Amino acid sequence: MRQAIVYTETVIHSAPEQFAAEAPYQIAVVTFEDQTRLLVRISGQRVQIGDAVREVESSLTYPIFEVIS
Amino acid sequence: MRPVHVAGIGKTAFGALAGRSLKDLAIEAIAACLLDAGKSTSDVEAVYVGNFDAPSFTGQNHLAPFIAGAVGIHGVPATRFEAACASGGSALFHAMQAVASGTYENVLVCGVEKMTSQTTARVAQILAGAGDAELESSIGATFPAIFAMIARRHMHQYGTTREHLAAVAVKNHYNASLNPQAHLKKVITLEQALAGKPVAEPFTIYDCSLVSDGAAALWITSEPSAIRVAACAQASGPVSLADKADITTLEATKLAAAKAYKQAGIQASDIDIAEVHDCFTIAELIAMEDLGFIDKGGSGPWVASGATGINGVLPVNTSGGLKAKGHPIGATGVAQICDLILQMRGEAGARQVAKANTALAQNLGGSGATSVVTILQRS
Repeated sequence: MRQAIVYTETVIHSAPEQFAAEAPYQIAVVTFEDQTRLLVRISGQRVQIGDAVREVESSLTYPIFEVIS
Repeated sequence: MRPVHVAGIGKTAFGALAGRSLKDLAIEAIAACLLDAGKSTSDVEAVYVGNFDAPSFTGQNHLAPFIAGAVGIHGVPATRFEAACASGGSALFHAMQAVASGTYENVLVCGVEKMTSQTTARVAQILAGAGDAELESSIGATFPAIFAMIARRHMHQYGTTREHLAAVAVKNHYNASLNPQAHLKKVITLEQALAGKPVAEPFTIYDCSLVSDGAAALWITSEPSAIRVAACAQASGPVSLADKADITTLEATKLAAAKAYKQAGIQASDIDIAEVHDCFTIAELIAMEDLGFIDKGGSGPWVASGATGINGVLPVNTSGGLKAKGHPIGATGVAQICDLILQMRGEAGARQVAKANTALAQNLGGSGATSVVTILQRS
């Protein structure tokens, strides 16, 4: 699975109606080795700028990453 | 291209205006504008309406002929401009082009939005439509979240602090307390701003602009008058945050500003007063840098020092800004011009600045996908 570095992040408390039940949740822009970036959902432990993260398998339509501990 | 002037302004109060419809607000602003310009509906050659999403907020589409007809303007072209939160600025930009090129002598610009009949969660959902629907809104990103991520990165790269962000909110709330037409006239302290309810970290509710109803209108004309549009430039950038090389700067604002300064033949240091797009506190800080008022990364300490207060070296958002005057999206870019002209005429009351000969407005759409920079000068 893909690995990347957290470029920026936020924890959303006030969510759009479609995601309101999931709040608070964290999203991040991550940078891959080839310098491309992607907006992803973070699962599990909260991450900070500079943290290494990896993609986790998911049946959802959007990418989900978690911190590499 | 020939000189273009703004010979009339009209604006409703901004706020949660229960019982006031979209049409009702547009009529009030346009009537005030025509009265101010000394013109009648028969003088209008085209109607340019700035509006973000009346279909989602109110169910009303085909807005421009709807509004034109409501005020009794018939037969002339009436067109709606949509550029997210820069919808009003974009309508102004295109009106300016049409008059400068000689297509029309007189164009009526109206910006309007009616937002408060929806729930907060529904508003967040509608606003998220101004981002990248496939890559951003689909994972639950909101606009506060997009700008919160910009703030986090600016803090990381330049040492900007929560206190610097809060200083923007404190200043703009104070300014709005002096503006009878502002949505919130409540002064806040730094401590209150920092302790607000979290929205998207590090933002509290005090870092975010308001959800408001309101309308504003401008009379754009080739006839010489007291206020000249010295420049109006629009530029584009990536819609998706992940596609920006450096999210601490908004390239579209830099491009529009460079073009506007060149058109007007002036520099950033010539600006006496500015209204900028403070949809979030970080947006006002970054605008200071992208517009060339302060070096990259230096905006936090500069704004916190009071430099942009009403009596500062460069008064910014003396109206209260989107933060406290309110942000009825489509009206915002048009209202910024109204507020600057009040200052330039010396009619800004308790918030009047000492010198307002050259004024700048910056209106942003999305997280920098559209930016419009306008420079006004006394003729």
